[in-house]
Amino acid sequence: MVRVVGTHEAFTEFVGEIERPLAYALASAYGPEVGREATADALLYAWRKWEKVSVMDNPAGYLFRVGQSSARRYFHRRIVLPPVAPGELPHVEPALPVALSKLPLMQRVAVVLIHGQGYGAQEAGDLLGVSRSTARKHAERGMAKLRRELGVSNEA
Amino acid sequence: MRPDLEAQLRDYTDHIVERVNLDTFSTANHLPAVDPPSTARGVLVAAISAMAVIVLATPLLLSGVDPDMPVVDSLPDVHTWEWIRVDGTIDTLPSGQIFAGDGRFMALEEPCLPNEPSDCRPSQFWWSSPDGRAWTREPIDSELVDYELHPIDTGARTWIAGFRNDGSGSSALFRPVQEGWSQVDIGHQRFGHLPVIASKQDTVVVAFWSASGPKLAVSDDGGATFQSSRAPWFTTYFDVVANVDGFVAYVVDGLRQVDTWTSEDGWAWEQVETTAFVFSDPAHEVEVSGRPGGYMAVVSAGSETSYWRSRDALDWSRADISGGSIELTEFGLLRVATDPWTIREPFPWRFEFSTDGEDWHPLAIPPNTAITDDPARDAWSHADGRIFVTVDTWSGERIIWTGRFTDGG
Repeated sequence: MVRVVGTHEAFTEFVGEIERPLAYALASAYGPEVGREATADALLYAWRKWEKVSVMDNPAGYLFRVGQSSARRYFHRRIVLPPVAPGELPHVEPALPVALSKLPLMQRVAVVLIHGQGYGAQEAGDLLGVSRSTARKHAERGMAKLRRELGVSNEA
Repeated sequence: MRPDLEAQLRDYTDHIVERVNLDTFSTANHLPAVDPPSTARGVLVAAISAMAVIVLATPLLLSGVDPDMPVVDSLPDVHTWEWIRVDGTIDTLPSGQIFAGDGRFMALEEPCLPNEPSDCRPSQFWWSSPDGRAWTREPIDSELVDYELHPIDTGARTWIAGFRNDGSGSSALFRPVQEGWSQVDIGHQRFGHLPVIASKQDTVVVAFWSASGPKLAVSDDGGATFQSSRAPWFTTYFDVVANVDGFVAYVVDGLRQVDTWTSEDGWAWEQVETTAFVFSDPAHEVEVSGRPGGYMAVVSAGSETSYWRSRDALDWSRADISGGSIELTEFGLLRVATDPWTIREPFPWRFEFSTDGEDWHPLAIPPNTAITDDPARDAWSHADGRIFVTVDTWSGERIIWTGRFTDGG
């Protein structure tokens, strides 16, 4: 019984750390609705396989792959991120959702995590299963494309 | 344009993640109240869940489709699918997605292969082949410095749109000219995103989002010269196709509905007066493809996607299609699906083809083909009217599989 309580506590702590970046990554990768389901599926998988997941070197990256597998259940060829109509909140360039959705998956997730949410390149790299420098390069290439498509010529 | 792109990204991603509603799957609310599945109850829950997974993974077939309204109007009366393997090297076969148009196979060189470092640079070369076997590599334009290029297939003609990677924000559109490509001037130097193009005989309509809103560029000489004007609609998401009477534009309005506009010549447009919106589902984006005789529309709203079909691009009926990714080709529908619970490659992809959206014919997977987790990168496309092509890419070696229906019965 003590072991179970400890498992619950450890898992709850783990979810507290991983849930938000995982949700951002999967929502940006597959859209908010699919991202929600994929995140829930990945966390459920982690709970079921907790003995295995809890000792992994990179559980975040593994669960991102689990989420990706789950997302294929809802697979759509094109990722659609919801538009923001002029005048609605948040105030963003109307073309931003389109430009963001057209980025390759790795670039889109890296851009959202690193430039949109302020996660470190190492944390983003862990989720994506790539090195810190590769994650940073994905983010840089994605930001360059966004700036180009949105007509932003200088660094933000 | 707000200059603070990172702040916009933060606000926007906060906005979309709000929809995820993290509280709905907090550990207290979401996880089953069982121990990790080392207990009998855990095993039971896991078993029940596994059964649910099997049900969810079972391909969902069509139902309720009007048999009198085929998506496309022709398919050779053949049933056997055969694969042809073409071996080569990085120097003799293309690495990028293969597509077809203007009577040939084409591929834009893609040096940035999956799992390679992300600092590889886009290529300005393209490949062409008359038969999918022998390929030649040529520069798109020797004057270009560094472009990222995207093919746009209008059914009758293939175009290439590109963004210059020199920080200027400039863009270009290319049209096929004999064995090469010619850059065309549509009167604007910046696209907000890739344009949509429809062509009919010598009239070409290019619709695109610019910094000042949606624009149209129309050519009466096959795309050699364009004149541009402001589009009569003002939204980000739109698509344009040609039909027997001219051109039809589909525009997602502020109410998430799709308005229809028609034009005989591409210049003068008028909104179709309807008592109901053309598609009944809320839409974030609409994509229409096809040709006179059969059209398919994909209406997306978040994770919800509905499929519609029409003979004239104006009157639409809903097609109850589910499961996998659906792509409209000249001869029918291609469905790509996989077992969603396979984590590691190779994924068990399943390919099916249908001429009417009702009966689906499984297509065998090429032997010993490792398909990655992104079928879009693996280039399933229609070519030469009735041939599908996939590219299997590995370091130093290139293998192209061409699949087609034969008369073998």
